[in-house]
Amino acid sequence: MPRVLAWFITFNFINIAWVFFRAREWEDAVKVLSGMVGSSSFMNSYAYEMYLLEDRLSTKNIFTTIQGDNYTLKLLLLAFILVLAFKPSQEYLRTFKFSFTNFIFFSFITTIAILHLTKMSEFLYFNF
Amino acid sequence: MQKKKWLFYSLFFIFFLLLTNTFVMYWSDTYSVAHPHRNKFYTEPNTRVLKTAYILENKTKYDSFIFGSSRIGAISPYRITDGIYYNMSYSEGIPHEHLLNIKLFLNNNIKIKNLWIGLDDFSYQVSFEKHQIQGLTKLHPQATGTSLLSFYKDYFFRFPQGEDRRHIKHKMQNSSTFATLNIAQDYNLSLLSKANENAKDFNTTQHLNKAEFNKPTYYSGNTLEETLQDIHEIKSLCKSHNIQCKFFINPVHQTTYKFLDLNLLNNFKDNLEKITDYYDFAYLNAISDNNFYWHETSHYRSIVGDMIIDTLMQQEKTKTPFGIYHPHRPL
Repeated sequence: MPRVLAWFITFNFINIAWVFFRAREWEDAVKVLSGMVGSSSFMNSYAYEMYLLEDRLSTKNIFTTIQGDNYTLKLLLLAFILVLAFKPSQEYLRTFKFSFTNFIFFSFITTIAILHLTKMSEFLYFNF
Repeated sequence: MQKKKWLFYSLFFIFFLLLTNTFVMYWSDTYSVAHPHRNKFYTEPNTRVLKTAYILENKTKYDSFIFGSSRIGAISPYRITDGIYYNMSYSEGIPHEHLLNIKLFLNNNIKIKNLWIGLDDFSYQVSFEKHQIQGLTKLHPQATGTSLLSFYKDYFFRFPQGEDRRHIKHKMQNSSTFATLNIAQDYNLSLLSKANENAKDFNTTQHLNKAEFNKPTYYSGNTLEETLQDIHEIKSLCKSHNIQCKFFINPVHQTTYKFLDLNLLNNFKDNLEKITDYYDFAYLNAISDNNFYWHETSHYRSIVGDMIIDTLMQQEKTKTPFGIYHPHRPL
C-alpha cells in the first residue's frame, strides 16, 4: 500500500473511532462526526459574514471555529515538516547524549514549556 | 558530561531562565498592573485594575460612578452636577464586571450616591470568563477574590506574547505607542474625552468618508440570561444601599446596527424593562447615521457623550431630544 494512503487511512480511522469513546450518547457522536465533515466545522457563520463583508477569505476568519488565526496554517505546515522530516521522539530518546548542545536545547524547551502553563491571551478589539 | 551533573546544571539553568523571564516581564509590565503610576504608557494599560485600585486608595474622593465599556469614555464625569463622578470605563466592560466592582466598593465602605450604568449591544454577548484570561481585561484581584500570587503569576510568569514583545521593544527604545492617551493621575479621563479629541477635525471629508465606517463592530455569542441576572443584582444593590441608579444603552453606529441580531437586541431591551427603567440610545437616528458623531463604528464622540448627560439629567424624562426613556414595567 502507498505510504500516503496508509497515513490517510490510519489518521482518519483514529479520528473517527475516538469520537465514539469520547461521546456520551450515540447522538453526540453522530453530531460530532457530521460536524467534522460538514461546513460548520471549517467555516462558521461569522467567517461567512466577514467573507461577504470584506470580499475576501482570510485564514483568520476561517479558523475562528477552532480558535485559530493567521498562524494556524503556518503552524500546521511546521507540524507536518516536524513529523515527516525528523525521526520519531522514541528514536531520539534511545540515542540521546548528555552533551552541551542538548543541555542548551533541553533547558530552553523546558523553560518555554513551563512558561506556557500560564494561559493569558491578548485582547482582540471588536472580535476582529 | 556526567548524567547527574548534566541534569543538575540543566535544572539550575532552567531556574535561571525562568527567573530572568519573570524579571523582564515585571520590568516591562505590558498592562501596567504593577506600575500604576507610570508617566508614560507604551500600550493600553489594564484600566480595570488601575481604576479600581485608585478608588480603593481614595475612598472618599468620589461619591458617584459611571460604569460601562470604553464607549462611555466619551461621557465627561466633570459635566455631571449631582455628585462627584468617576468614569469607570474599561475596554469591553460588561455588567458582571460592574457588579463585582460595585460589590467591592461597597464592601470597602465606599459611599455611593449615584450610579450610571452604560450597557451595550455586546453586554449580552461577551463572556466574563474570556475577559479573565486576557491581560487587558482581567479584573482587580480583590474584585474576583483572586490571590495576589495567582494574579501576578498570570502577568509575569508566562512566555511573552506578541503584545509583550512589542511592549518590551518600545520600552527599551522609549518610543510610546500610547502617547496620545492623556490619562490623568486619577485615570478619570479616557482617549475619548474631549481633552484628547480637540486636535482632531471631525468635519472633514477625509473623516466623514473613512472606509472604517463601512466595517461594523461585530460580536457573536449569547450571555443574555447571565447579563439580565447581573443587572437585576445591581438594581437590588442600588435599592438596598439607597443609590440613585440610572441605566442606559449606548448609541450604536448605523453600520453596526444593521449588522446586529435585532431579535436578540429587542429581547434584551424587553427583559431590561422588566428589571429597571432605562434610557435607550441604541436605535437608528440622526446621530447614528452621521459619521461626524463617531470615531469609528463602535465609539461615539464626546459631543454625543454630552447629549447623553443632558438626557439623563433632564427632569422631564419623556421629552428628550435624543434617547428614549423606558419606564420600569415589572412582571
